[in-house]
Amino acid sequence: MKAAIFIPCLTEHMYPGSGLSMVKVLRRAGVEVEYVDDQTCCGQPAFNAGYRREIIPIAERLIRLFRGKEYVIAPSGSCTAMVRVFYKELDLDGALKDDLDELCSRIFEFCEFMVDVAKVDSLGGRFPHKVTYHDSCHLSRELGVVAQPRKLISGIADIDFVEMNDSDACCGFGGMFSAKFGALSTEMVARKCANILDSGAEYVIGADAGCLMNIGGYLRKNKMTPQTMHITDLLAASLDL
Amino acid sequence: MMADTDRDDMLADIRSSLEIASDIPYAIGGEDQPLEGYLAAELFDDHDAMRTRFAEELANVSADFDVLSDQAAAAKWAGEVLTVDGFNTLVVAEEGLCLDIAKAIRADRPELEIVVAGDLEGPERQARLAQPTAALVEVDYALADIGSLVVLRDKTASMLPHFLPESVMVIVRPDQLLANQFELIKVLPQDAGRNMVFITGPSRTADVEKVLILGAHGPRRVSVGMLESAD
Amino acid sequence: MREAVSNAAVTSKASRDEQAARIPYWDLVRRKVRSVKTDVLEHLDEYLVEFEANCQANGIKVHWARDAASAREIVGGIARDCGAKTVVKSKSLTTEEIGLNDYLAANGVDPVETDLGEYIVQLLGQIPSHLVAPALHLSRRDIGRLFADKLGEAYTEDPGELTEIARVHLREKFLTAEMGISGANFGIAGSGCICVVENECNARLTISLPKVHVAVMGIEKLIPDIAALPYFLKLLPVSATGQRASSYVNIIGGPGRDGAGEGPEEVHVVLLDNGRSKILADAQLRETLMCMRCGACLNTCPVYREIGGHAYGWVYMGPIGSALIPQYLGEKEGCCAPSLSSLCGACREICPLEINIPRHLLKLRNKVVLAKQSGLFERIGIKLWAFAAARPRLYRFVTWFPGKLQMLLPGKRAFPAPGYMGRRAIGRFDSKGFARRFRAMERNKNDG
Repeated sequence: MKAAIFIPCLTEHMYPGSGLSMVKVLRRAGVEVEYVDDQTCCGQPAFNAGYRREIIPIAERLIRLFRGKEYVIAPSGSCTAMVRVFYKELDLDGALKDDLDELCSRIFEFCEFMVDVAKVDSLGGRFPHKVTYHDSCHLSRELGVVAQPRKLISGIADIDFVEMNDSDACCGFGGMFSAKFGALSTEMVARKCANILDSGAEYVIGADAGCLMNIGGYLRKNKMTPQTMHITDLLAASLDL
Repeated sequence: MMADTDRDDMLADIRSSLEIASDIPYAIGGEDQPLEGYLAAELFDDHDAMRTRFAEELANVSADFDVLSDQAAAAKWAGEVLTVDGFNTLVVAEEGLCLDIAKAIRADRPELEIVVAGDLEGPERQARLAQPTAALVEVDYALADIGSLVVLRDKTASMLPHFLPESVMVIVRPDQLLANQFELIKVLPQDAGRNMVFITGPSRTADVEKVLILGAHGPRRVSVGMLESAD
Repeated sequence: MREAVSNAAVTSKASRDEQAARIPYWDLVRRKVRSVKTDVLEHLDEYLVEFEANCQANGIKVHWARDAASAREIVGGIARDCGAKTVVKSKSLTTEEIGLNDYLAANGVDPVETDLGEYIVQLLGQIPSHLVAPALHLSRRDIGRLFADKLGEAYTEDPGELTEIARVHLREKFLTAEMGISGANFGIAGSGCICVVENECNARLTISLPKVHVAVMGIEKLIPDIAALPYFLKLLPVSATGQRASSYVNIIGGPGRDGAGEGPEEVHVVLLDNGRSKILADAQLRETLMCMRCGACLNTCPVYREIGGHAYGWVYMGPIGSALIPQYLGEKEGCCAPSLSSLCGACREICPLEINIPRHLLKLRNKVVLAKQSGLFERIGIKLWAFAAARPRLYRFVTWFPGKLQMLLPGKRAFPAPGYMGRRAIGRFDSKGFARRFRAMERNKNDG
């Protein structure tokens, strides 16, 4: 299997480690990884703020960039959803519409790729710690990816996986929502962090950098013990990669 | 006339809106399994099973349920409810069964004032029934799956005894019990379904701090007595 | 207030979940109900004509109101014709949408809300804060003080006693009002009748005690026939309040019979458009017309739980409110409503009609932008960003700066970003970024 990796802007600029972890884990799973240069962004922050015409060039670029790739994998539910669910709302150039349809059948979020396509539940790693999992909104609701991350986590030896209350409640990130409605967003992440604390977990695992940045930002500022960890980093750590 | 113009304009607007094809899915969620299978599975094995469920559901909505062996037992039952509630007046719906039971109650409890709703004229009936009283009424159907009572307005002389009094005692015949609303729709007489009410338990509100209070503007207490045989 | 709203929303959602779980084929009923509504909307003109004909055959007078003013005048006219001085009202958001109460009061008719929550909110001169529980934002103390002040009753904060006070005051009104005004949950086209669902029995009394009954109903509320009704009733009470069934389902198909001395002498239905046919014109947004006002989306929305209903500023609030406000009030007045959401999708998950609210909010945000109602700085910022993001070399150049600038910040601090300056910090920029690190990793791999 050969896959091109799609690196979200938050991963590129703030959390490149998760991207590197994903590459290492995919290689361990026997996937040949290709990184296409000149990736920028899927355009979601602007789209969510209501700007469509402005991101058409970005979307068209992305579709062209990944033309002809066997698989495209992103370590992000929201970016994958942007392409698979929301790109069709854009007024794209006619020829590219077919390319988009085609891309939609080949683009996957990392966990759903591992479990559903690569058919890998467990890579045999070990992580002797207590962890919980946060369901990001686009990943769980738009893409329906709920079981796959849990399979991957449970497939790690010696891991103590506990579910937190309201694991699928929104953490309050919502992209620019967190900036526009800071106080409201902070209340939402406060609730999420309270649930994380209640679970007793040392780490909260997630599949979206935005959620983890938001949750981590609150945990750290308020000197709470649990740490955030992207699921790619968890798998890489469990394998000592 | 202004109203006619509005009608024409509205219909024209709607028609032109509908010339634009929909960009929404026809249906989502669930698979294309027939619902009928599930609904059929919810029917009851026999009348006893239906009656048991009916009793459970009534309890769930804070209504009382008793089985009454005959009219004499019904009269005794009604008398007990009246004593517990402390009412001295009983309003009776005009239907035959209620009148018969009322006669029996009168014999047992001569001190009770019994008012037949149909004996009073409209405004007087309203005023009288608006006072705190108890009532003895019948219904047309009962639905087991959620503990509902069905009243067909065009088959009843007066609906006020079902809604204005504080405490309402309902006599149900066993042949009136159906499984659910789907079954009801199947057996409703032509046109009778245009004016009816489904009653499920006493009136209630939770508008004050979400605290459930029984007895908002209608009855606070609903007691259902089901006869053992259709008599 | 926030505590009250939040707790109530959480409890309501929990009850709803419990009851929905009892119906293993819940999603199939949703699918059925959704397909019924899709069919109704796509043939709305035909169903309306059928509804009108059948209502008229039942002796119900049908009126058509293009907009709020037209509807108010129709109701006002009926009130005038029957000499109404007092009107009792059961809960009807549609009548609040058209501002009926103020209009009636200005024309010498006293409109008295009879739903307990609406009655309380009316006495306070406020608007409701929830679709289904209007006085959710008030405590028993607030209500106790209100009744003591406005009704001259002895102070009590016991919910049972407060309900009793309202019962006594309002029963008097039921008996003397000349007219009753209600909304309608459903209009049944095939039978020519309307359906009003409630718990308090106030709607029952509103529509049967006064001599005249007027129901104001949005044109989108139709269902094809009575056989469809049980499907809707399986979903509505569970979604709204976590009840298996509402206490009363009133089906009204005509005035009272002669000789029974009961029931209204006249029944009127006012079919209200007020922008609905315009919403219908949008191929996607017409889905929002399917809403049956159950309020489940409010109870599950993390934003609604925090900010409550009044923050939306209109009679429809919560997720569906965010979608309806700009459609009814326009992109200028309604510019903020669609943004009051993190687009989490919990509303869509719980909606009995599967309305894809996040999708609609995204479209409405776009409409706000197209109508030039978004902030100027935001527009400029986004355009500059989008220009760069389509040009990788320029993008790399532009995004190089934050990482470098960040080094000027003391310690391991992150930038002070809007929304991230209080109890939360934004993430730190990495000094190299993924592309460089990946290339380094590949080089090491090849060398090593």
